[in-house]
Amino acid sequence: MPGRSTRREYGAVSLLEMRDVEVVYQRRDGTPVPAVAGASLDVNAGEIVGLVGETGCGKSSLAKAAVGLVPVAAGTVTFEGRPVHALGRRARRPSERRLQLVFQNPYESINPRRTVGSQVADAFAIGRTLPRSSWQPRVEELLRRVGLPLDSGRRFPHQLSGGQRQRIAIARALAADPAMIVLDEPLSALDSSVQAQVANLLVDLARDLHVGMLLISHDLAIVRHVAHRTAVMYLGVVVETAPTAQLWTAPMHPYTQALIDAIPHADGAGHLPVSLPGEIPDPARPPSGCRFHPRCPRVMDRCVSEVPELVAKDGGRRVACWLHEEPVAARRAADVPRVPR
Amino acid sequence: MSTAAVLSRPVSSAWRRIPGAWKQPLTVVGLVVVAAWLVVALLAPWIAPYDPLAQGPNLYQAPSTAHLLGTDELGRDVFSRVLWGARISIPLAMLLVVLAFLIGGTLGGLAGYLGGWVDELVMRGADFVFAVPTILLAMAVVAALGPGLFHAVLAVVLVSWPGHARVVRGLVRTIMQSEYVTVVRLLGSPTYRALAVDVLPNIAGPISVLAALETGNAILLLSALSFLGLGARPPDPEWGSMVSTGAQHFEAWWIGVFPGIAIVSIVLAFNFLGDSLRDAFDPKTIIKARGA
Amino acid sequence: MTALLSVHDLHVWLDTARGPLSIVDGVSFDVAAGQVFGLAGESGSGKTITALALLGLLPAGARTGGSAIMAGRDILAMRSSLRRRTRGREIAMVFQDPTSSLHPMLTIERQLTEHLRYQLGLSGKDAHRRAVALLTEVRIPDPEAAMRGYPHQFSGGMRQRIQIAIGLACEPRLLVADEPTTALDVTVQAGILRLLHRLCQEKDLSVILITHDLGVLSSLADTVTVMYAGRVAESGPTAQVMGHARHPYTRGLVDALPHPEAADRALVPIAGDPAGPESRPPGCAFHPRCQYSKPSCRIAIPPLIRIDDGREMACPVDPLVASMAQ
Repeated sequence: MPGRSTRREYGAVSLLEMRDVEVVYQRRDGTPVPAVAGASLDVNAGEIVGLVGETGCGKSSLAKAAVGLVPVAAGTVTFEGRPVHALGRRARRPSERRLQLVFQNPYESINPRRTVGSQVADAFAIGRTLPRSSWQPRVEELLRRVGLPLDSGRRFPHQLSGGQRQRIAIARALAADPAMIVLDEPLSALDSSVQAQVANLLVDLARDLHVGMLLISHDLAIVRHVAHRTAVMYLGVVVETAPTAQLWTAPMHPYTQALIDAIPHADGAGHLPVSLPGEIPDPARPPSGCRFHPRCPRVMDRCVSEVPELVAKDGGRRVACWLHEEPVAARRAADVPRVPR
Repeated sequence: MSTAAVLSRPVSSAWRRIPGAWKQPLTVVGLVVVAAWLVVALLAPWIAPYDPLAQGPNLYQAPSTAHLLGTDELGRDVFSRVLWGARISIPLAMLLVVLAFLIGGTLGGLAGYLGGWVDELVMRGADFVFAVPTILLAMAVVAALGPGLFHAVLAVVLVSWPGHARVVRGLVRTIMQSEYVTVVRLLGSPTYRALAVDVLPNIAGPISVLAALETGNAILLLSALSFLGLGARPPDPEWGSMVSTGAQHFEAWWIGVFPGIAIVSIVLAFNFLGDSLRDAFDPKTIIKARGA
Repeated sequence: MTALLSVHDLHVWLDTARGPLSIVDGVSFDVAAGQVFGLAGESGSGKTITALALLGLLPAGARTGGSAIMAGRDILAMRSSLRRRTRGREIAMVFQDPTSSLHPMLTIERQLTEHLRYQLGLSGKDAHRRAVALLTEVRIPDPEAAMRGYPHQFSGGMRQRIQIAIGLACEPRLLVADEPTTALDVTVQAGILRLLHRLCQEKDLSVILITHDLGVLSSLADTVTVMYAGRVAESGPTAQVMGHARHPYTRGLVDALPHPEAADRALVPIAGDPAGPESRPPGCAFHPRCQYSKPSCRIAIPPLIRIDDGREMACPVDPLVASMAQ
């Protein structure tokens, strides 16, 4: 496929780099709401990074900032070494078209009045990357790649199920020959039995096409199966990133632990999940110091006044928590890391 | 498909639902009446028994076998005049709607697409027109320009364009913000292409609903202006002016009543048609079968 | 154990332009007092319509068959006026989206006390006191202040608690909760699940918990009935149904979930898409997606077979038996 060798050159540099990104919205009364308050994240070619968090954490805003749908108020977003520009009235730059986005709702992200095949072919039509005679075979190849029957190109969206439509959305992104795809809750609108199908597809695509993916999801369990690395966000900041397996077996940040404990298990054992006390604060008025401190079971004095930075740890992990920053001598006995379930 | 999907049809199958919609009684009535009047308008010169302008010796004749709907104050055959009236009202109304849509739709589309001061300007203009009672504004325009059908048409276009503008603006804005337009923008599409390929086909439906409803409205307004003496001039067999004459000759009720029935029938018919089209396009309508 | 609610052979049809459409096709279940009864299924399963049928909230053009006996009366056959009183008084409901079920323009106080005064005839002061007590029960912080608030001032989790409080106002015997936590964050969901659990135990309240989320059912439901395309596939105690699923659909659902132990392996989906009322295959509705299907599955609708105490399943090709026979 064209463009492969170019990607290999960037081996050492991350495909997508986000540094200290801030995204600010204006509320109706004029108060600025920092949806993302300084988040940093990297995605490499061929890897799937899961971005998880709850309401108000800013993951959706970060995803949109990554592709330029919303402007960044501060910080940098770099794709293939070049800064990403916000989408304005003018057409998007060709270099940035290799950075694509798949939306959550397959019922709204596809034009109901056009055949799905014509929409998959949009990338060729717009980018003029293929001669017209090659469109049909390429569309069929893409449909096959996402696991749809070849004749589905002639159908209209309402003739397809939710899972099939989401595959069309993915095929449409693939038609732009992307190096990187951001997926904003791609599985949330699908039935459970269908989620597994699309999740497997994403893993296959990342592996076969060496495409990097940033997968935003509120469903930690599925992210665990799909993502190589996972980042956790809380109230606009990234609090922890780690290789997925380690995030689950040995979470470092108390919020990560709380998220894991809150997941109900479908084993029939009847255990109630653990709830986290308190509420997510208003992003416009975040708590002082560590944003999680009012709800943290391991809170210390330092957490109230000082903001912990996202610091690199062994094994490619990063965490923003004073629990892991204190000098060894001052560590209290009670702070021995818990062995999770 | 889930129950929710059963209860709310997606928009793209709306054109498919039109055959189903045709089974609704009111739709059928609307369609039949409009079709009948269109035929009449086309064939009036051949089906009308008399020349609509020919004055005769029998004034104020009640409906009889010779004159199906009677004669008016100058001995002219009311039936023929009613038939010929269709040739005036219907084409003019259709022309009117097309003009209003072209002007209003373009302005509204630009307002929705460009936003900013263009949007402000267009919407304030529309607000001004809305603020004044329709018929008064139309009258004022005709009074300024001088009476006559052509001026009446202009006046009605002037009071109708804001309705079209507002609808088109709303549609363009909504669709420009829809996710599928965002997707093609991310694929690198310039906005004009998104407009042509993704926006315009999606607004064809609601626009046609509006057009059907507005045609009825236009006929009503034209007739009203003629009734007031500001539109058609005598001896044109325009329905509104015929009703006006009829109001002055109350005992000869046939002079005013039959043109009045003609107006009511065609306006209602267009309204039924417009409502059915709207129901067919509304994804939330369940097309119910008999009973239940 | 006598059942609080006994649903027998429930059918729901929707009248469409193409004739009556069967949404629920012969569903029976019992809800015991003080127990949480789980109704599981994906889209098109008919679980929500079942709940609406019980509550008398079906859309126009819908018809029901079968019976639902509660306290000796068939609630499906009730006149709408009587059903309205029953709906607030003995059966309460909690829906997925608290944003649309709470009136945005009325204070919490108004919404709670109006309900209390309409159903129980309480005086203003008594209603206020009871409302504060209800908010305390659902653990709303600072209930007095909360009473003066409007729904939009509360978070999703709080609004759901308020909805539950309104539901509990008249001390119903049964609470119907349709996807009560689906729209909530996982940590907030955990709080609501714990709240429901506590309320069931303290008040001997029965709950019909409708959800597609097997994890939620596993945590809270005592018994589970799994629905597919309007029919029951499997039912029984939760531990049995989810821990040792027998029906191929239930097994498929459980297998399709991400399991921590198998995190390094691909997920195991069920091929195809869930069948809905408009696309219900003949015979067994699940047969096109089933790896155990036989030619007979296409012809005959499998009846519910009793496989154990309180456990039923609708699959003649019981995979457990089939695999043991191999």
